[in-house]
Amino acid sequence: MSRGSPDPQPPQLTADMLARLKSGDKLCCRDFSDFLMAYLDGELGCDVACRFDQHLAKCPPCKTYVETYRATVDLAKESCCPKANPQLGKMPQELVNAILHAVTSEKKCE
Amino acid sequence: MSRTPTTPATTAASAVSAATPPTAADERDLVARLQKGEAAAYEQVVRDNGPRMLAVARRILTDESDAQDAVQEAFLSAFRSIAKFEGGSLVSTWLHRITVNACLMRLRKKRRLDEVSLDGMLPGFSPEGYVTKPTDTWVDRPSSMEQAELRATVRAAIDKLPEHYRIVLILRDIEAMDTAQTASLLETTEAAVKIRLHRARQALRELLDPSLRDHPDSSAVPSVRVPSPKNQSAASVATKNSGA
Ligand SMILES: [Zn+2]
Repeated sequence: MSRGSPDPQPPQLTADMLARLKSGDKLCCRDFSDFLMAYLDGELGCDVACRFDQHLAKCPPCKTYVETYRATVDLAKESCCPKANPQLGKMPQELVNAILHAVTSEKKCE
Repeated sequence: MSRTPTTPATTAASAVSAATPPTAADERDLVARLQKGEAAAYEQVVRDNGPRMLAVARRILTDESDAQDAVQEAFLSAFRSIAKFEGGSLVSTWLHRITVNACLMRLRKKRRLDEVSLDGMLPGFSPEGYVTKPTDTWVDRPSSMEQAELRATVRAAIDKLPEHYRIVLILRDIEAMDTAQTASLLETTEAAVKIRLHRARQALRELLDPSLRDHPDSSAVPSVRVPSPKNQSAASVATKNSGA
């Protein structure tokens, strides 16, 4: 699917961020946003995760961002689950018949 | 056409498979019957798995006739290759993957997976990398009647994501496939899947923000509703992020 289509604004590589942090750069909100999923998935090393924790404790906008990011994922899951959409998994009898008919015809042709 | 009667044994098996995962012995028996070409086994598989496969196809393809065609293609393709099924996974898991593949092939044919732009749907920052405007908390979850409206809003917002991102969000967050499976189905790398998933979640958050924020400002959309035309929503988000 990539077909040469570049992902717009890919976050800088984790290695780049690590190098910047090691050279004394402060962790900014953009870093926090770019690497938030890696942070939540526990994919950042302890040192970096610690810097993220510290930023989170001091930056209310990022704290709210994490909460609403998590809520987004929960809402997406909830809104698309079959329980929330009983219609989603309703299979018309005609489709069952069509599939069984197609299978039978195909086997006859073999 | 009248509903084909199912034998009591088939009915019992469907009921069990809906509630509890089939045992290894059930699965071996089912696969053996399919490989022998037993019509009743085909019917059992279609009835037990069809609804879930159709739900997956409807989520991915949105168009009803496309979704039904994809499910039919998936069953035919599965039954053609049943001789090669070795039992490394459950029949239902195997069918799920074949369905996703059939849906992706349809999307590729329509070149819907080529869209890539998320312009204006990502958070904005100052040149120094800091948040330029206060981020508002979201309202508590509405109850009862409003719940249905909220879910419809979320589904509409997911459908507004560029296909390239929407599909990753659906496969990872909704179909619960792992990063490696998703990367293989989409013929891309795991790193690309991770970036797209994160971007898709960020864009969805931006799309939902006007409807869910605790203190809607004048630029926000009233009530729990995402604006309908795609350009309008992208534009309103872009305006909000104009500090970037
Ligand atoms: Zn911050």
